[in-house]
Amino acid sequence: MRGIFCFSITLVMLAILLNFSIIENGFYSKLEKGKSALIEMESGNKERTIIENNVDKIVSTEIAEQIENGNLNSESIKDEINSSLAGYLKGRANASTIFSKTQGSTITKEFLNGNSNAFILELGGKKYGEYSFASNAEKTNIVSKTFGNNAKAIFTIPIDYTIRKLAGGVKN
Amino acid sequence: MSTLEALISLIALLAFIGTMLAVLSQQKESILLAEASVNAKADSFFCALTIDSIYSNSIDSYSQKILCSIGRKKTSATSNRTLKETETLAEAESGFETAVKSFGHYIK
Repeated sequence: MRGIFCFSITLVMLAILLNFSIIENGFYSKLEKGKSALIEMESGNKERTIIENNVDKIVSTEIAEQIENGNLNSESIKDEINSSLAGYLKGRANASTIFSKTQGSTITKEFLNGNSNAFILELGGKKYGEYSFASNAEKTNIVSKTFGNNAKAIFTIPIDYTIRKLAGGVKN
Repeated sequence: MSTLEALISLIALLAFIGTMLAVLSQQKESILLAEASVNAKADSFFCALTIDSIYSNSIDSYSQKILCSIGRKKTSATSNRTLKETETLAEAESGFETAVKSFGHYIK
């Protein structure tokens, strides 16, 4: 009789332990699912931010360089900026349309040249440079790249994206 | 006499087993209630965390289902009739799709 009692108690205890274990596993599973979702979002945002910052930096540096070189030829300025930009974006982003943000072909200097404008103005010793991603006449061409599967972070150079640079101080 | 002693012992044993079972049953109910409470809180907390992460990482779209009721600045989840709420930092709207207001590097 005592044996049966001990056996029953042991069984009940095991059942309780098993129940606790199942509950704990459920929480771990939820926690891990949450962690992986958050990591995916962080990772997508990190990749996108790196490209955005580098695009800004490349355009800004190239305008400054053209101002320093005294280049006032719009086509040549645009060509120089887009050459650097295409070199960086090749393999990192796609030439696409607003209707298919996730697809597209490889970025080329020609694609960027056909969708952007650049100029440098000189007035009274001061130089003002500007680069714009103006897109095509229908405003449908964009540069984009999608990061992540469930949580999508989309990098795009938006239409009318503009970087301005002013060089030369005010003369007293 | 020995039969009577054995009978008393058996009654005491059965009473003890009965008490143990009653206690275990009560504990089981408490555990289930606690589990539901923790589950609901974990669900609402996870939803809030997801919404805040969508906001802070400027995520353009999120395809996983967010299994919570979404208020303006809070999420709530139910498990076994236990309702728990968690406040979010970001504002979200629940409609056909959940929309979280966020801002990217370039203002869109």
